[in-house]
Amino acid sequence: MTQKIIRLSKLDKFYGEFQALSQINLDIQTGEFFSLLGPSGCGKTTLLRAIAGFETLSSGSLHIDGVSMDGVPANKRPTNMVFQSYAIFPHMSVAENIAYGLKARKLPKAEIKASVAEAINMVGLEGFDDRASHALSGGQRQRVALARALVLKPRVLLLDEPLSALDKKLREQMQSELRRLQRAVGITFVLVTHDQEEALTMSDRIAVMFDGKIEQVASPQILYGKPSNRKVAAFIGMMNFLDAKVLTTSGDNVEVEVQSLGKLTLPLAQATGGLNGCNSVGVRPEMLTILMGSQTSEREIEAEVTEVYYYGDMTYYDVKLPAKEDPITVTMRNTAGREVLEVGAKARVGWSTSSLLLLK
Amino acid sequence: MGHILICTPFCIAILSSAFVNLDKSLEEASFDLGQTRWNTFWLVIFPLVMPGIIASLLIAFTISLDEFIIAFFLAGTEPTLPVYIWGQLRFPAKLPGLMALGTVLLLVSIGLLLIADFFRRRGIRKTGIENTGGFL
Repeated sequence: MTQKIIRLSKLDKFYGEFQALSQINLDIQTGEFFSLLGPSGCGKTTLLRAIAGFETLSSGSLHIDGVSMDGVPANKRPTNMVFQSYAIFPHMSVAENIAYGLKARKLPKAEIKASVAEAINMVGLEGFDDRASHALSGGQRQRVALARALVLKPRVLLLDEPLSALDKKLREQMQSELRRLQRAVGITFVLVTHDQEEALTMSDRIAVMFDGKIEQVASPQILYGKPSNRKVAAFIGMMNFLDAKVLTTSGDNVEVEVQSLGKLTLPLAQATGGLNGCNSVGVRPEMLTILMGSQTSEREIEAEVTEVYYYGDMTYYDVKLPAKEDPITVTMRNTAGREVLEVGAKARVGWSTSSLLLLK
Repeated sequence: MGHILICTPFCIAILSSAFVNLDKSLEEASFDLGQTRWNTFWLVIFPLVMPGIIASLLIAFTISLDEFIIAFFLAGTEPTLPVYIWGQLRFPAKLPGLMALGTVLLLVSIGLLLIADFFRRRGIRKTGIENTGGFL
């Protein structure tokens, strides 16, 4: 059963003259892990705070669980938030922090105690009950913040860049833990992040935002494989762009003139955001190969290596194509027997028409 | 009294630093967790700025206790301690007692200021924020 837990329609938010959110239409399904992804200042945090009830809408409507949130303050909404700074109450112990929301509901003491113990178990903080909260590490504070929000069993858990303050290793560990936790409790998670890797690995669906607008809402695979425009394509992972001009369309095919690659016929489905206004072709670096010896590919083009970045398991090459000024990037897995080319070497770059995306 | 006028800036300086250092998201978190605004103030904000309030009270008291010039001009029939000491200086016979009284006044003042700063520092440590200046 897929039900919409959050419905946003025609949502606008102005700060004076500045429009932070414009015409946001978005449905979030019950029980999914949803991410709002975009560069800083794109309005993703504002949108999250609007759902939480910390920002009032300039216009538009917001429904949670079918109920309009118009005029409902944050403390009456079925949402809880994990703040970027965690906002752990510094004068309370771990257990007191987690019990805070339950006490506000005036539940019986025994029930509070049981729920707190369960929440502490859930986030793996056994034995930390009486620890003063200023004596916790970053990861532990994160867990307290999570437990404090989850113990209230909200309909939606809102997470505002919860992992940005952690170091890389801990962040990866918390990513999988968050995912596991979300599956276990079945609560809808809405995560705000600027880290595309984080969004891709954790989410069921992602909304990509730029300048207060949602550009695309899709699953991670579709977002990466079939971005709807150049902006999204460039933001999610690496993408090489070549200028292109649409010549004619016939049936399900479209004929394009592509910089360096010449005249091509592509299926219409590869114009992922529609054919209107398409002026470039995108290709992921891993879809290109540097051909060695007698290797062949569907298509190939001569190029010159201008830069080599060796990463151990991978090598990133910047190669210059004829008739294109900026180099494009090719990534190659360093399998056994593959030699790493040097700067200035000539390379045969293999590609295929099926890996090209026609974008606007 | 005139002392309110000279103590206010000190109190404002201490209290505003206590309030500014407070993370706004703490207030939001409490509200988000279902607490009312009124209870948020008593349960979260007040305990965290409490050290600042105590410190400012103590410093204001100390300043008022030691102040001489304004008290001298404004005092009516009930002189403050420093004004009283100054008045008694005319009588050489009372000098030893006045010396003792003056010493006590000095020690009490220093003691109160130390206690005030102790509270201020403790407040900062508790909220886990960097120490930015102070009086001592």
